Amino acid sequence: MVCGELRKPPYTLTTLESEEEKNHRFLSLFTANESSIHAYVRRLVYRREDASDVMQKIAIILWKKFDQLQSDDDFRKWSFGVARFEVLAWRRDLARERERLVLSTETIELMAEELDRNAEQLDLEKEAILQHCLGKLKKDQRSALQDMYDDESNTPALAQKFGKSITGFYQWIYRIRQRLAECAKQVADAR
Amino acid sequence: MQDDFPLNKMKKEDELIIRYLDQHLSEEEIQILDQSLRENSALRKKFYDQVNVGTALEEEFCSKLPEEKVISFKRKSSTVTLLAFAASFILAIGIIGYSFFNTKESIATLASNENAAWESSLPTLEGSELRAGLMTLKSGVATIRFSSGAEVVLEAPAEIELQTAMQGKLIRGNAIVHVPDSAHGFTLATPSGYAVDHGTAFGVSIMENGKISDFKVLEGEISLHSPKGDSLFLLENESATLNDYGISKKIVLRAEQPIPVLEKENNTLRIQTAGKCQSIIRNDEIAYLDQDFLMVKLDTGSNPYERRALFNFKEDQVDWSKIKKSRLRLNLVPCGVGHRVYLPKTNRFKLYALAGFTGVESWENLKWGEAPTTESATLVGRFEIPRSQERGSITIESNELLEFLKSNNASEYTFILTRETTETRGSGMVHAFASDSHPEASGPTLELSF
Repeated sequence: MVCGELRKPPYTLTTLESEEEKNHRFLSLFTANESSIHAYVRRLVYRREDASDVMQKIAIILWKKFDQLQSDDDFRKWSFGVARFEVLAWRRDLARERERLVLSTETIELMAEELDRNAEQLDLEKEAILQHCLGKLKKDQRSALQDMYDDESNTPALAQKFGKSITGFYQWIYRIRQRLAECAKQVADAR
Repeated sequence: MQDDFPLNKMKKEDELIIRYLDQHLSEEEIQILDQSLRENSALRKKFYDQVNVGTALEEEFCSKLPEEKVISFKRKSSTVTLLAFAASFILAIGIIGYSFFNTKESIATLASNENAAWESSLPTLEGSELRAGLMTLKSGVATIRFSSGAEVVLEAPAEIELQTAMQGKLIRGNAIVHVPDSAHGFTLATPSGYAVDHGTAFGVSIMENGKISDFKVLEGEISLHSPKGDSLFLLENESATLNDYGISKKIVLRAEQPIPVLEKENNTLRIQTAGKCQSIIRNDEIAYLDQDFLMVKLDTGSNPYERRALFNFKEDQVDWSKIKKSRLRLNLVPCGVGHRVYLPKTNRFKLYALAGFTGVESWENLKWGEAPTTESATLVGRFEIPRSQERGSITIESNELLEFLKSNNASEYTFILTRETTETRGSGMVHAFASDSHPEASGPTLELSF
């Protein structure tokens, strides 16, 4: 009988991941998905500052629980799940004075579900708006949209600036935005 | 894109959507929109489209962090660029010193925001870790705690540059600096020179043009230094001004006198309680109280450990009827009694006021039965504190407070602070606010503007 050479079992190369590697992996996954998660939150959460708060909570939870993630491929689904949870938590914890001015929890829950399903499509449309449709606006249309995002302005004054009644102004803005959405769908579908 | 929209009127619900996004809906209208959205899936689709357009427009039109701009145009960019963007979120998580993406060390925390609106590339959410950089407070009040322990309470409009754990630069605005022992030597620079803290607390007020800085020592001592090289030591209750020409003469005031701090054209007075502040406990067991704290715990009428806080401001030299603005500031501090988890998420407090002399001769060892009650007092303010908050500056600025102070024709006012909400189990936390003798935070301060 020959004992033969003692063979060492083939150790896998991925032993313990170093902190650095883990951080790199997290950051890569997070940044790849961040824009999409942020857009999702923003569609549901009323004010920019609140959306920012919610995003921060999401980021922290994703980082803290990153070890629990089985596979990198699940990151998107998992992070959207966390996002949905945090949006609902935000809505649930709204102070009484604030919640009167926001849609109800039931509605937000319903929308959270539908927006989760449609997230990818909406993201494509958002890209289309930014890269293509916005460029097709006439100068005054773009100007009106932009002015509405100006912190210093107020809508009645803007309506006046553009020579419309308040209701007329809102109609106008709504329609410009609707056209942008329609353009976006055409572009996104053509891809 | 054509502008020839059909003449038929926009549907009512569509109008509700756009007004909602512009935050121009009344409560009733929001309820109508809410119900319509729930019932009508086609309307929801329109809503999603509008909201999605909104996210695109925000990206296009709203001021962005430099890193964000890079991301939106270069989706498939290199790792380095991607990481630079992520850094702004990750910083808040506190991966400090991780050399992989070169975060600079955090030197301070944003301890609290009260109706604060910031402009800064540093994170501006309460609890954020801050590294060196510039921050502009556009409205509200906020507290920045440097990692050395020094705390700067800023009042908008203000601009501050965080430099190191032991140094900051106030570029304009008003601030009160509290410095505990651990941070003695903390320096607050201003455009006209700098102040080094040698013990406890001082106020700074910088004129709009940034050329004149008023310093006033609330507690302890500071030294002022002008760019020319001269310096001046200021003791408690002393104040001086730094400007282009150097350091002004000291203005020394007696402890009882009001300490005026000039704020542009307005006169603002800050009055403290001068020791006339105390907590009382129903069972009068003073072992459960602490002189450094003003403690508050629910008042149901029977719990022997209930506490409330009383404090008094007296000022003869001033015409109270001419006040334009009034503000009461309290500093919430941890006092370690009870458990935070047994509190409801939001804790509500009520502030009552009484005008004139209330019969309290001595403010030491005041007994529950001897203290003034809320029955004859006027409710002048309410505020809420989330249970997660351990410290912070609470400001009460209500119409009721202003009216009360203006119309009561008295020169002294006593306030009673009670907590309205209870704990969910026994041993819930006692809330505490700094009293005059608290070693780190300043006691109740009444600010009056004329």
